[in-house]
Amino acid sequence: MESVIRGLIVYGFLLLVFRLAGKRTLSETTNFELVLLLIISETTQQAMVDRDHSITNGFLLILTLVGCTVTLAWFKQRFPKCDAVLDDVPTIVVENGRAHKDRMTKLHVDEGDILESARELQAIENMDQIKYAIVERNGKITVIPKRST
Amino acid sequence: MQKIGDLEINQDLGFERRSWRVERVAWAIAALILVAALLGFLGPGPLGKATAASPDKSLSMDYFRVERYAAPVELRFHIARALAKDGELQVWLDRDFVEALEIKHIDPKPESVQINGERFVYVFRTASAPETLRIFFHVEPNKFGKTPARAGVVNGPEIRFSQFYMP
Repeated sequence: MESVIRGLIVYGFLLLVFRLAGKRTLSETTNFELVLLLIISETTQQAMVDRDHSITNGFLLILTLVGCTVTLAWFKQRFPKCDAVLDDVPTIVVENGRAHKDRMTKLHVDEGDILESARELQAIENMDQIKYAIVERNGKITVIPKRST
Repeated sequence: MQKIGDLEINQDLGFERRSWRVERVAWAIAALILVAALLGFLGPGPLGKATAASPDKSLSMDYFRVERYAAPVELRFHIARALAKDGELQVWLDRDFVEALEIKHIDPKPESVQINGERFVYVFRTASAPETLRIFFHVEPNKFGKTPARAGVVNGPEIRFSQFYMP
């Protein structure tokens, strides 16, 4: 029973922390952030497994974690509000070349980040060529270029 | 699906603004939790240090009020040599406290351990011992919550203290 409770608590805590950290946190995975993610996973594993290294405990924890994910996926599909609460919503940060500074500040995004994604994804040279830039639910920035007439 | 210009998107700025407010409150709470942890409210720390002592100070013990489940814990006993009888010092811990812990090792190692009713008695040889004997119990809590405890010297003073074991 303790294994399942541990799994549920750890799953709930991670969900809460990563949701509250904001969608841009750890979304780009720089070298340092990759190391940070590995440390977090190691710490989580130790707290969850405790001193019980049995196969049964491992199986129970895996079933608990996958079970949580499947249950939440069902809730998200059935209740759109639940989907927004758990996975956030996309936010438009540039519209027709005009940046929404207030939204960018809240999302910790600057013009440099947007132009980086624009260069990488669409070979765009400047903000005027951007029709929309959107901070997606996973924190990535997608860019839609203006169509040349 | 909402339509903004040519873009079909589930943007919800009202929800987003509420989320940002909740995020900021959550960060403030997280900062408070970290400060509480640094000070010793969630485990060993400067404000969590405590000493339980008998009225005549011949027996005292240093401990932290808050410790954590399965983490190493040290209980430091300071015992006046005068409490030893016939070159032997008998320190006891009450059974409920011992059952809440896993005793990893004791420094110095006791010569024997005896069960006397609801007490575990640890017998130490005290030949050529200093004025104050220092005995360290290295333990690991194996339960959560508040754990009241009693300890003492057989036919001598007794101390009461309480620790809280975080999950």
